[in-house]
Amino acid sequence: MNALPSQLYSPIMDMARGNRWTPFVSILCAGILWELVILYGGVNTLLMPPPSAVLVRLFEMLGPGEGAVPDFLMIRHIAWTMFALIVGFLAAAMVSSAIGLVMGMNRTVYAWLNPIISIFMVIPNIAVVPVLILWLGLGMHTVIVVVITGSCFPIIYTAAAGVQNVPTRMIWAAQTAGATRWQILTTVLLGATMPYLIAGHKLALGRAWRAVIAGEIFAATKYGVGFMIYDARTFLDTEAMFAGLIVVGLIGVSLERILFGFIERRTVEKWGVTTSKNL
Amino acid sequence: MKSVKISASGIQKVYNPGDTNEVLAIEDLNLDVREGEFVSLLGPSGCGKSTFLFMVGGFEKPTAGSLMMSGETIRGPGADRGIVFQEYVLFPWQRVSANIAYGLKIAGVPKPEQERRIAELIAMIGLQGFEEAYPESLSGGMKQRVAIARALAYDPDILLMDEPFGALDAQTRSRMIADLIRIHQATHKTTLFVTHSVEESILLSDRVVLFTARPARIKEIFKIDLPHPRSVTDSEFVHYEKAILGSLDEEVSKTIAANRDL
Ligand SMILES: Nc1ncnc2c1ncn2[C@@H]1O[C@H](COP(=O)(O)OP(=O)(O)O)[C@@H](O)[C@H]1O
Ligand SMILES: [Mg+2]
Repeated sequence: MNALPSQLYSPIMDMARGNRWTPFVSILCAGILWELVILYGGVNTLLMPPPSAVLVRLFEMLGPGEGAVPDFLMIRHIAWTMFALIVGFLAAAMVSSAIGLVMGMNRTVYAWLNPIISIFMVIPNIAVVPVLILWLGLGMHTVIVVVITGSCFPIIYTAAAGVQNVPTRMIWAAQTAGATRWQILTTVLLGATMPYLIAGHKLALGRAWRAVIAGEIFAATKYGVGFMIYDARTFLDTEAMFAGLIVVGLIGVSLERILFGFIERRTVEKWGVTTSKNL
Repeated sequence: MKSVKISASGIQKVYNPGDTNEVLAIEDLNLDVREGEFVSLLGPSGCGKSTFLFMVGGFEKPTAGSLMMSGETIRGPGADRGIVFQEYVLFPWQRVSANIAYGLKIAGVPKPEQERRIAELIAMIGLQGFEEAYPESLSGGMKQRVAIARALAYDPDILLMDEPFGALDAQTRSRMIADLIRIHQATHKTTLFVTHSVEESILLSDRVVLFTARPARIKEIFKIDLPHPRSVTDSEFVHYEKAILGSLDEEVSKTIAANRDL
């Protein structure tokens, strides 16, 4: 009855039920399915290339160039994208954290800013891109601004919510120890708000990544993964477009999982106060 | 006779005055606590014990009356008081040692002096080996020990405790009581100790102040003339217990009756 040797059977069943290998196998299966559909399904490979061809194209673009194609083309695109992402995200993180903390601490500020922010928040970030291009022209600086507008709101909101959720008695404990308002901010509010800040920044980085790609499609002029995808359309280079999409997906997942996984293990998980896992 | 440390006269506290959800928590409270004294505040749940403690802490203001500490009106919280809450309220992002040193850091005490004081307090609360742990990894009793050490670290005049052992299991609680007696005998801190446990109040206190049902006034003050260590099986202990329980039961019945009317 055992079609498989039992020493093999159990690890495969574990994987099928879902363990740490499952994601890789799942993606591999999707890739194989995609390949088979294209091989036997009569799909126009000019519009929908097989993954094997996309991967070959991806590695070509990662390596040295040929003729008019510069060396490490994909790396250049990624580098520009990452630069715009990091600059925009850091700017958004600093400004928005400050705004959010102040909103959380001061009810009047909250009451006045909240309605305005609520309206801005429901506007899809992509809709402000035409306005930004009109104001700022094309170029990396505009992409950076798109990243900022795309990622600032989750940080503002979670920082404000974090401050509002600091237990009153935690502030009392600090006041009783003689802490001034400023000391309470730096020694209690920041620490107590950290789970919220981390959750907000994680959310915001995901938004920032989507924003930088979308922003590049419209506002970049030479490099950037988003720009590359849009540009490849002009040459019907669908393999490069899909290679770009894969890069966008892989980097996006890595940013959220690896970077924030690392930060969370070092902070909120160690303190036993993690909330972002549930978000 | 030691000097009066805390002096409350004619204290009234109304929450949300003028509002539809106005609450008269404390009606007319008069109490003097002498320096070094250990005083328990006992009363039915919701009668205003925490409210009074928080007024002494400077977090709430009386709506009438005068509340003084060391001869001066209490205007706000300050480092001359230390507070311990039932829910510990430690700083989860700081290690045990940093939690204890919090007040010292605020006061700008030099690092070596901080280290010395942390070691002293860690020994006092018996948490050697846990200096580098995060609060999350500690049991309830251990967390409360850290909270007590944090409140004592900067050497306040008064220790305020709001049902500090309320969330602990019986065994941990009796160990904590013994430790608190030892700490009080070593430090002679004037202590206000809110509890709803009669046994706890007799074991610990020089005086047990019994509050009436809300709005709170002082119903009766019991002076506990028993040497430490006190034993719950001691006939005099039982005698106190009966007297206080009887008086408390009347107030609890009133609270229940009042809630039934609602
Ligand atoms: N911040 C507050 N606002 C309004 N009512 C309050 C507040 N704090 C306490 N109360 C009310 O005051 C009364 C006394 O509360 P409290 O002092 O906490 O009682 P105890 O500590 O004796 O259980 C209760 O009826 C409670 O609901
Ligand atoms: Mg209470």
